[in-house]
Formats: sequence, structure tokens, C-alpha cells
Amino acid sequence: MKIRCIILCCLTMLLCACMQEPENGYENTARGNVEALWNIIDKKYCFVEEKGVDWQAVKTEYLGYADSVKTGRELFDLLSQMLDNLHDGHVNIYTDFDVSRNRDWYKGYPEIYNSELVYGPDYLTSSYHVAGGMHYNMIADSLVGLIRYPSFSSGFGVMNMLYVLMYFSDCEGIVLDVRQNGGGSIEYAKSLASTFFSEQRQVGWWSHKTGEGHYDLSKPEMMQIDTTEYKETRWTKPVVVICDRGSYSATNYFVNAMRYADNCTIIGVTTGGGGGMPMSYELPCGWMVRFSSIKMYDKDMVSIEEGINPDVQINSAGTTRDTAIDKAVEIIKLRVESLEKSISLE
Amino acid sequence: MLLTLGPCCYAQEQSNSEYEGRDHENILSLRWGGIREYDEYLSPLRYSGQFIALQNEWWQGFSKSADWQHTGRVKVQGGRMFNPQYTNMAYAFGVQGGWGAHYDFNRLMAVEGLHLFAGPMLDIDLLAKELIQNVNKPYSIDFSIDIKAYAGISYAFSGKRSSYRLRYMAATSLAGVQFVPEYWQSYYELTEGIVGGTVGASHPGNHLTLRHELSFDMQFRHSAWRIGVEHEYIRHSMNNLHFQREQVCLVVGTVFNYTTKIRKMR
Repeated sequence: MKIRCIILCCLTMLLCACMQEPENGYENTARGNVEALWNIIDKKYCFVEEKGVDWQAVKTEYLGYADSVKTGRELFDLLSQMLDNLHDGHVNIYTDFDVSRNRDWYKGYPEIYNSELVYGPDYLTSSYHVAGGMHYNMIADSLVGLIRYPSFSSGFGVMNMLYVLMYFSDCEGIVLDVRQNGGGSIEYAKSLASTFFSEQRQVGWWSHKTGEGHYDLSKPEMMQIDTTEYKETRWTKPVVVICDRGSYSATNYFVNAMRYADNCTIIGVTTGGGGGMPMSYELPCGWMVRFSSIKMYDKDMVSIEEGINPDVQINSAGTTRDTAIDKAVEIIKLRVESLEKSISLE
Repeated sequence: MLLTLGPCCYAQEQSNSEYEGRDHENILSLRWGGIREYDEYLSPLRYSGQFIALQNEWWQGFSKSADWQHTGRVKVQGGRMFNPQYTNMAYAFGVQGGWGAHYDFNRLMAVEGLHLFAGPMLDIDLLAKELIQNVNKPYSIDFSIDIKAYAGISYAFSGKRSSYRLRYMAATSLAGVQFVPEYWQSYYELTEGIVGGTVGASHPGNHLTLRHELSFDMQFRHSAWRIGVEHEYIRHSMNNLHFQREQVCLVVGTVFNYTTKIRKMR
């Protein structure tokens, strides 16, 4: 009898241990998803205040539309429109049938990139070389090396860079074209930038959300370009970076970092920004929402979310020749001339 | 198996009276069951699925005191989970380990074969999770080291043809340390060395673990087998992030008893 009582007690404890989980989610209805999305952005997105949007008013407005939503596509459209208020290319909804994205953030800026020109006979030509994610060739009578990096989603290794720099060893400078590079891996951006740094150097700050308040951010930590990993590859001659409004996210980071590189000039159009590191989360309906939650600043603690202004502005792509590349070659020639003059004076 | 057979052979070779015996029990078990996971860092949705685990557990008496035993375990597990809408999948891989010592109150028991035991245990829990569809924040890691209190009761009895043992064990966390990223910190930042505020003290208020297992051992000729059921519930929170994990599984294993003989100290 005693044994049976003990066994019964044990089994009772086993069942009691299956505790009820606290309910903290939203219902999987149109209204529940609008509320969930609003809360995710309100509590986790790091640019609510910086975007200058009355986010509380957005909630009132879109909850009003929620009851009329009948299908998944209608819900997707409603949530996409809600996020469009933020004018942020890093804010997206991912579903099996579509991905929402804001199309306005890059509008209103000069379009200075024409791939037919860049890959045409005057520049990369059709016989350009490929090393990892880099397309490269010599231009301007082999005086200048041109590297086109279309996306930081494609990487490269030390050997790739080594071969590129060996190929350009007789050139007087390098033109790095990151126009329409929408980003990718920040690691590739850092690795590429480190080629043009002679020593480890701070290029900015970053801080992440630490709480639900709009200003709950961690103490900023230094962002540095590490020169120990790619120490075999160093370029100390002049370099010109060409960027445009399509230079976004990791490319925005790269352009910011290159502002602090040795012997570098930035030309083109203000970059697209995307200076927040994006994170993903889920809605009650299972769709993924992406948004920035880590803020990045330049070395002077100025947010790089809205883009980086170039040292030299370019206003058009050109019709027969690429205006930006020609300007970059001109800058490199001037830098070389001034360097030669200073050496002869000494 | 070689590790467990080794001492056994050693024990058979030694028959000198200067040696005294020490009983060991080794249980190798396969566990299969359901897992439910709530990881606020990864998703507000509760994921559920199945997992499989392999656990090795051992029990051994202390040489100085017959009433004290120590026990340890290592468990390797992997699982696959889905969100309620089946739009995303998560993989989980983890390791658990622990070592504890307990006092056997068998002298206080009036019933033959009945043992009641209790003691502290140092426990480690590591579970890495990956959400397949997450583009920018796919990883999360649960990691904790804590002191647990554990207790159990077992009853060994003989039937007509064989001998049996029924055992129930429960363990709950008391205090320790746990790792949780800051509210919305990325693992990329952690790899860059920004780790401040990610490790904190754990106590029953912010970290609760309840693990218990009911098992039944049966002797079949020269081998013993175990079947059982285990339930584990872990709830922890830190840095405004909340986590829950619940696992229930069936246990099937072999029980291997052997005696090693050690030289008496004179």
C-alpha cells in the first residue's frame, strides 16, 4: 500500500510539471498581425524617432483597415503599406509569395550608373577578370586599375585580393566602383576596406537596442577596420571609391569606412544609407519581418542611416563615357602629379 | 562500451583479499520525444517538434562512505521544430552534462529494497538553435551552469522470473550563471567581442529548471534493460528576453552493473 502511494505521488508530480506556458502572443488574425507588427517596430526597431514618423498614428490608421482584410495577399499589402511609412530599405516582410520593400528611399537622386558603359570597350571591356566577387581590369592606358564590386553577397579571399593587387602592381591608383551595390555581408565589406588601411583604425560606432523604449540603446562600441587578417594585401597608392544612391547597407558601411582609409577619395552620389544592422522576427501568421535594430554611426557619432555624402559630387552617368570613372582617373592622375611634385621639391 | 568493460575485466582479474569492491552502474539510453520551444530572441512564436538524444549516466559509491554515492551524466541531443503555421523550421543541437553526489537514506527505510536519496548536482546546459528562414538573425544559444538539488526514490523487487527496479528522480535548479544576449543584440556583435551584460546570475526567480524521470529496470538473463519517461521544463529570462523549453521523451536503455576492486589503504 505504501509503495503504491509513493508511485501515485510520483506520477502526480510528473503530470503537474507540464506547466501552462504564459500567453503573450497575438491572435493570428488581420488585426492581431497588424498589432504584432506595430509592436515589433515600436519596441525593436532602432530608428522610430529618427524617421520622424508618428508611429502611434500609424497604428490607429492601420488597425482601422484591418477589419476589412479578407485574404493573405490583402494582409500582405496592408502590412507593406504600413511599413512604407518608415521609408527604410531594410524593413521588409518575407512571405512565400512576395517580399515587401520600400521603393522610394533611392528616388530623387541622380542616376550615375550605366552598366553598358562600365562593361563596355572603354573600361572593364567584355574580357574583364573575375576574382571572387570582384570584376577587374586595367583602364586609362594601364595607368589605373578598375574594380567593380556589384554585391557584397559575393565574397573573396586573401588570394583573390593578392592576385588583383599583383595585376595592378604597375598602376598608379585603383578605382573601386560600388555603384548599385545593395550590400550583403559586412565581413566582405570590412575585408575589402582593410586592403586600403595601413593600420587598425576606428571608422565608427555602433549600439544595439537594450529595451523597448525608442531611445533604449547600448553604450556605443567602436567599429574598427582590422588589418591583421589581410596583412599580405595592402594598397598604399591613391584609391577612388565611386558610390551612388544604390550603394546600400554593407556598401554604405564600406563607403563610410573608406572615408578613413589612407589616400582615398569618395566620389559620386550620396549613398542610400541603411546604416542599421537588420534583424528578423516573426509575425503570428508565420511571415518574417526584417528591420534594423543596431544603429551605426561614423567616427563623429553621426548616424549613417540616411547615407554618406561623397567628397566629389557626380551628377550624370554620361552618354558615351562614364563620367564618374573618368573623374576618378582624373583624381588619381592629379594625386600622382602632386605626389611627384612634392618628391621633386624635397 | 570499452570504457565500461575495461574496469569489469579488471575486477575479474583481481581476487586478492587486499582489494575491496566498489559497485558501479552505467546506463546508456536513447531518448525520443517531443520538444516545445519559446525563444523570444528568435521568434514570438512557439516552435514544436521532435528530438532524439543519447545519454550516458553512471552511478558509483564513494569508497569512504557506503551511504554516499556520486552520479554523472552526459546527454547529446538534436531536434527539429516548426512554427505553428509551418512556415519556418528550426534545428536545435545541444549538450547537457552534470555531476552530483547524494546521500542514500536506505537505512531509514523500513521496506527492503526501498531507497530514498537526495543531494546537489552541478549541471551544464547548452542548446544552439537555428531558424532556417531567418535572414538576419538566425541563431540563438541557451547556456547555463547551475547547481541543482536532486532527489529520488527507487524500489527494487524480485518477481517470479526476474528482478525489477522502479525509480523516480527529480531535479530542480537552485543557483548559477546563465548566458542571454542583451535585448536586441546580434550574435555578430558577440563575435566582435561585445559581450558585456550577457552573463548573469541565475536563481529560481529568473531560471527555473525541473527535470524528472520515471524509469523501470528489468533483468533479462544476464542483461538489464530500462524503459522510462523523462520530462524537462526550463524557463529562464534575462535582459527583457524570455525563454521556455519543454521536452517529454521515452527512454530506452541498457543498465550495466559491475564492480571494480581497489586496493585497501593500510
